[in-house]
Amino acid sequence: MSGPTEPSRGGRSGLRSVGLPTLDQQDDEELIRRVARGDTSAFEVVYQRYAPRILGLVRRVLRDPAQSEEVAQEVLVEVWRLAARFDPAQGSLRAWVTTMARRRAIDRVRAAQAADARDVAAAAAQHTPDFDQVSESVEIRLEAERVRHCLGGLTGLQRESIELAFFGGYSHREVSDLLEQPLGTIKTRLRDGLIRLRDCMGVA
Amino acid sequence: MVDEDHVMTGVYALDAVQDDLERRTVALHLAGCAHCREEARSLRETAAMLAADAALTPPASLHDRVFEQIARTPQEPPLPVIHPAVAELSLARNARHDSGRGTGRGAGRATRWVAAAAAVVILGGGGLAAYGVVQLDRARQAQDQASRLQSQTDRVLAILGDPAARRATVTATGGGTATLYTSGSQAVLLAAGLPRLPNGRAYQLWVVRPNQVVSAGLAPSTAAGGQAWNQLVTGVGRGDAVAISVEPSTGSAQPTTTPVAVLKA
Repeated sequence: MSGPTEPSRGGRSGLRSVGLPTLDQQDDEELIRRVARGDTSAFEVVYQRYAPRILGLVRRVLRDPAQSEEVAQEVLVEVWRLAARFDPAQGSLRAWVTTMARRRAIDRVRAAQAADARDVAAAAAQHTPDFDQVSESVEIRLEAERVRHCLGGLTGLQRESIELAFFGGYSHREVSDLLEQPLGTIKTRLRDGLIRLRDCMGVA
Repeated sequence: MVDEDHVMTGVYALDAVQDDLERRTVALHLAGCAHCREEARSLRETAAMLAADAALTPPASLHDRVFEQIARTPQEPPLPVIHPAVAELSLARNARHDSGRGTGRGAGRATRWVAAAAAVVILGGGGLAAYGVVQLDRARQAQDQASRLQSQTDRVLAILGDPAARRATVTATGGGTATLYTSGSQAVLLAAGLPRLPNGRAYQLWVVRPNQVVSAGLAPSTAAGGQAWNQLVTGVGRGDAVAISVEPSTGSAQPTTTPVAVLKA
């Protein structure tokens, strides 16, 4: 509890209100620029913002908790290593890390499929899963809420197609086989489903 | 009406393409369609938000491992940014300089041309080694068609060295620049930074006249690999335009895609 005996605290918050943004108020672009210069405290904020999404996404794709943590670690270290190559003209930091995480996770699934399936199953069975905790970040939970609300506005086929492609890592052809729908229909549903999501979520 | 290529923005945004070839084919379509490019971008941002729905609280051990690992992981430097226009300008300056002195002729001028290319390479940080000129120089040494290429080289140099040559430059759709120097009825097209093309595709040049479009030949095959190139274009009249489009590598009789660059001669 802070009280009148701690004047310094009041002073700091006073400073903040004058308009010096703290690191965790910086936008993604500024943060990643700092990370590119080797700033680990900026990377800490990036970690807080994106580690839950990266881990969650990888886990949804891979299922296996131990492998998911490994892949999430690889992705986060990659964000650190390649920070200087992030180009805001190509898209947001969120899109950059998400693409990276998804590709890595899918690569891992394909590698596992190519390896002896029994080994993979054995490795998965050996791991004692931690109980999964939904992210407690308010920002992420609000975003998740919005995503769920907007996914609810899609047709079943739109939603299935998008989820299979995004989380399942399936190509449009595979989605078409899985859902037994013509390829052209799947391509169209992926597009119009995403457009509806975009408009619902107000993505610029 | 949404055509077959355009509908691929969703697939592309979700990275649900069949293979790398298809990814590049879609990218090529996007390169020629600003509206599709913008749509793909916004859909990719939308897809990225789906991850929020899956978010989990990472265990503290993950934080420790990541920070332990980054402490001993060096960071990559930014990719060198080479603006083709910079190189192209310096090249043009050199060419003009040559002609200004009035001594440029034959092999002497070609040597300086190659020297200019070398300067451009240094200026551009090494990424421009392919700036067309190198191919010109190599071409001169080729066994067959040597004399034809020699005379082409001379014509290219003559046009670039003509202080009265008209110059037009545009940013190509999909990136890169194309510059046209026109002198009389001949022109030289310099292209740098144009996107790589999938197998089986090539850049083709066209002379666009008021009521007809005539092929001016395929760009060198290295152009499809993303290298810079130059090409002599003949039979260019006042008011004509020179265009570049993406065609099957066997060439087309008439353009089959929207041009990536159109330059007034």
